[in-house]
Amino acid sequence: MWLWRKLRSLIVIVSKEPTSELIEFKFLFSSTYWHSPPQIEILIDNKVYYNDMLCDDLNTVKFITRLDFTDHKLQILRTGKTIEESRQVDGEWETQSCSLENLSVNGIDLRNILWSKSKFVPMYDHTQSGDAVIDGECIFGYNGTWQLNFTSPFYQYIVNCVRGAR
Amino acid sequence: MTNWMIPNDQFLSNTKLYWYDQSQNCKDIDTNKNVLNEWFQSTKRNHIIGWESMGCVDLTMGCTHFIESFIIGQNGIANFQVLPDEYAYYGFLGKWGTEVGELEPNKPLIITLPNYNWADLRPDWNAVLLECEQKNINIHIDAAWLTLSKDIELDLSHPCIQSIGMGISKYSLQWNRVGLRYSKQRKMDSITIFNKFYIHNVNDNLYDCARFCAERIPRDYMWDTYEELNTNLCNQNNWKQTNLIHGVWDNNEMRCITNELGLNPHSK
Repeated sequence: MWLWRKLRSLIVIVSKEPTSELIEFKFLFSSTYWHSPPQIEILIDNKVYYNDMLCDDLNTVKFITRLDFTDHKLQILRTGKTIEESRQVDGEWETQSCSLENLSVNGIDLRNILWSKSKFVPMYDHTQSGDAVIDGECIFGYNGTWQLNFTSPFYQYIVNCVRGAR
Repeated sequence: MTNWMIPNDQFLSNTKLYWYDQSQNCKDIDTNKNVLNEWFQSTKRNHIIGWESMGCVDLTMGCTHFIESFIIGQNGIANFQVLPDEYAYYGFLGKWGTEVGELEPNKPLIITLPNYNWADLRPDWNAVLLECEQKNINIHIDAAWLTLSKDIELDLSHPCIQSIGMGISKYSLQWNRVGLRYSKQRKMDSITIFNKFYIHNVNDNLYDCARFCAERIPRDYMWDTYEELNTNLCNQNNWKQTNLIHGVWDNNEMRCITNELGLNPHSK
């Protein structure tokens, strides 16, 4: 027992901080459509975590994943918008749209971080035109890819954002 | 209800006097943290294993800071649970105990160990561990009383145990509350901000003083010094010894014996 405790105490000295962490992502999407709902796919580092249509007015997507302490890329691929999804009724346009209303990571509402650090790259069809990249856009009226680059450990990412380092 | 009084003696009082009397050299934050880390782990009176599983070590302003930081990290009072017979602070916040067997799945539990109601681990500790395993409940341990304890057995590597807070204040150091949080994963909360955002010159004086005291007060000082007196008092009064130096069972009721040990500064 004495030897075991001695060995234990030696292990303590060389113990290191972890190199990965479990992170909980919680998305809230709003969705409007008259014909077919918008489709989204959520990826982190090109791994798909969610792929479905946003059928309800408000849709919550939640998952937990383990990420290494390094750079990461969170993407939302928004699809399903075609010319046929838009129509005029009594002079008013009805169309298909969706928005990322809220993203919480480990219970922290990212809010301003989304608006200042994310970008949306629309995929315009032949009838549309606009900016190639829209900073901080969380309303997905067009098909396209929304992206937020972040790092893990996530607390350090937030600390760096607040410090203005990123 | 037991009226607990934190024990104090001349040696501990003198440690405070030395701190105020002597000129001090400021040490860097890592030195202070490392001294405290080794001090907490150096207990010979308790059997705490699995320290190496707690890779994140952060300075705190004591165990109340640990608790408050935990609550902030949970985003509020509704997002964690406690057991009955817990630290009164939770009741002050309007948080009441959930019975063992009725814990809510996936909702973190904060627990006081050792618990002063039994001067030991809770008698239902093994049932709590099992239920938390079955219901995927993370456990966070407030070990404020560990410095005054003996024979406490705890395996920190248990998968449900996610963090533990320890403090030095029970060595009559309430005037300089400092502790460490050991955790398996850091989350954004008050302690993380203190350790990872306000990195430079934050509470240097507080932590220098804590290091100063830890370098002078042996980790198991109370039991090493007062075990014989405690045992004699128990034998003379037909009390049953507990794992807390200043608590005994007196006719099945927990009794604080700080006065009887001659360790109550207010009685002198």
